[in-house]
Amino acid sequence: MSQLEDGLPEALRQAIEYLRLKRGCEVRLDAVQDNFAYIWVSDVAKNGSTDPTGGWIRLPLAFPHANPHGLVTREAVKNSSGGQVADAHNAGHDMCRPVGALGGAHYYSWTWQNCPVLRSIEDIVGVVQWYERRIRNG
Amino acid sequence: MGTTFDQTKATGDSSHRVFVIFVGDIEERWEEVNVPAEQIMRKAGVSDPQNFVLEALDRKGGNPVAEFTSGQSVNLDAEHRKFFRITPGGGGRS
Repeated sequence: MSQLEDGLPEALRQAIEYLRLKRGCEVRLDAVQDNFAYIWVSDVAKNGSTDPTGGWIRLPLAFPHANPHGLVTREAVKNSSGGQVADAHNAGHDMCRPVGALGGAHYYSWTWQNCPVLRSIEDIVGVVQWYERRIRNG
Repeated sequence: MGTTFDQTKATGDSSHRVFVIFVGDIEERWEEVNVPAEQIMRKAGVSDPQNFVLEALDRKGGNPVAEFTSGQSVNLDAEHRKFFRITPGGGGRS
């Protein structure tokens, strides 16, 4: 566990650990800014591709008592039709800055509004799947 | 013939088919070919399936190849109807 991750609220730290266990991919905390953690998930943007692109999910430090907001990727992601995801896509947005040095360059400002209420740390798996679905349909 | 049918088990007469599917790690058995996605999600423990979508995967833990809202019917005899996952629906943008 990184020093950065060690300083997270216990629920979010447990959620990250649970995600590692369930996804079986690289999951790490790369930045914390404005009460949001930037969680790198190495296979989040796979979308049928054999070459997963990965991305940073912006999770509130108060997760699961507050909602995720936004995805940052290194490259613009493609939907299931092979076209670029245009839904709320912001290239070079300020939200990318905390992970800019790691290559974060594309911000998708997707909100949890109208989604099911988050109830437990285990819901983090559904959150990642929700981002994958938005990529696929975006 | 879909992959689901290939892996079903006959019980009794040959016309009686049982479709064995997996929603995440949860095994479900259905005797109908067409099953409402709502029922599949409820059987997996979701109490409010109208807020979720059922995604069909190309393999266990694989990529989604189709999705069904709670009001839609799932043909379990079609290709890639063996493994599923449940994903939150909805969402906005800012």
